[in-house]
Amino acid sequence: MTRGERRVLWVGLAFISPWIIGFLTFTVYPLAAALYYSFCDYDILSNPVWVGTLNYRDLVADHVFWRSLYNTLRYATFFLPLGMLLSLLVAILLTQSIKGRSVFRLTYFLPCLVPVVASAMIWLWMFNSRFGLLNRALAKMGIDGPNWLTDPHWAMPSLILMSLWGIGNMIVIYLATLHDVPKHIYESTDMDGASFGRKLWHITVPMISPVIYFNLIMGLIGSLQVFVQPYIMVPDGGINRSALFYTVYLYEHAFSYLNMGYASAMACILFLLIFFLTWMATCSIQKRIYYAGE
Amino acid sequence: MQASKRRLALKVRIGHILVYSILFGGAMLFLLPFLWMFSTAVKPIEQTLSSSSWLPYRDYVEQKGQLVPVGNHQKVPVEATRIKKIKPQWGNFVGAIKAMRHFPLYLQNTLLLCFLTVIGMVFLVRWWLMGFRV
Repeated sequence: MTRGERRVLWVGLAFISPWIIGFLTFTVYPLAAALYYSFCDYDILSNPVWVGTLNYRDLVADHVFWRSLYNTLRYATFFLPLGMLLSLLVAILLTQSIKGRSVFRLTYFLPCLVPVVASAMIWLWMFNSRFGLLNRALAKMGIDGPNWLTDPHWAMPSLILMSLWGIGNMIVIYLATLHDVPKHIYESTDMDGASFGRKLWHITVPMISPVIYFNLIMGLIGSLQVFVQPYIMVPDGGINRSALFYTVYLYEHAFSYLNMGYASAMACILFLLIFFLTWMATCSIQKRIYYAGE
Repeated sequence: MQASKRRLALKVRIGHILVYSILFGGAMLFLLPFLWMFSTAVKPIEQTLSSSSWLPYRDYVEQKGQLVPVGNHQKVPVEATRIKKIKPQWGNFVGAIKAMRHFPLYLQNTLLLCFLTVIGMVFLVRWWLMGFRV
């Protein structure tokens, strides 16, 4: 490297230094600290004490930890396919040329405008077993509604149902890309007499596959990190911890018991899990994505 | 030719009806919690949990030829006939704002955060990525 090149390098680094400093202090440092604390006994008030892999060994033996992990994975396996399928369906219907299309679009996006805490409060009333709207409607039809949030069998389906109410974000992303599919492809398939289902499967889905992939990855990460709704609606995870989520349990250890080391270990495991699942998803479907010749 | 055209038109119409009904049903499901939230927002406190009505109402009793609202702590003769009148409690909104003692401060903080984030995301980062060119 000549003197000139070195000078250019330094100037370049100086120009991107706001980003470098921000990245180091707000991303790299917290990550490294979490990793370090996961090997410590740390209660915030006193200095961290190195305990080696004790936190991780405790985690393996902690059946509540396994329960929360199982619950979170179960939530993701139900919510993710359902949410992606429903949002794609609604988005396709919302691109048809019908009257009042913008009103329908607004309606489906409306839930995303309500702060998450507020929507959790609304659904807390909706799910109330005695006074809630859901059970009243069921009672009118002669069905004895379940105790949605307090019944161990129904707490998880309730939370999934509520999450499906907020698929507006995914719908908007699908809508944006559905308009980019070239019209002439549809026209030529119309000439060939292709049915709605064929056009959907052979043209729409391949053409928007990068966005389906994006929604899958974002949805996967989001549903494994879901926190606010379960924390407000079933703060302790309900009876038998049937709706205890990973992040809620993590929060409990971090800020109720002040077990920062234990919580950091949980955070590291969740990070690795999300990393691994995202990598698996990428590997398995990357070759099936169509990037329009890029 | 005429027959096949008619069949095509019928098919398109059936498709439209199907699209409308699915979208309408879904939209209702998405709107219901909102409407319920709004209706609860204008109900008097004693109806927020116990009432199955979508409309906020208030009970009145007739006393000396005048309609008197039935309050929470007021004693009402059992035999008095109650008259229901729809009466939204718009005061709930004022009450909510008053209950948050520093409402203007909270609002200011939220708006400031929102404004700076949007400006930063849309303009600054783009400007930065493009090498400080406008």
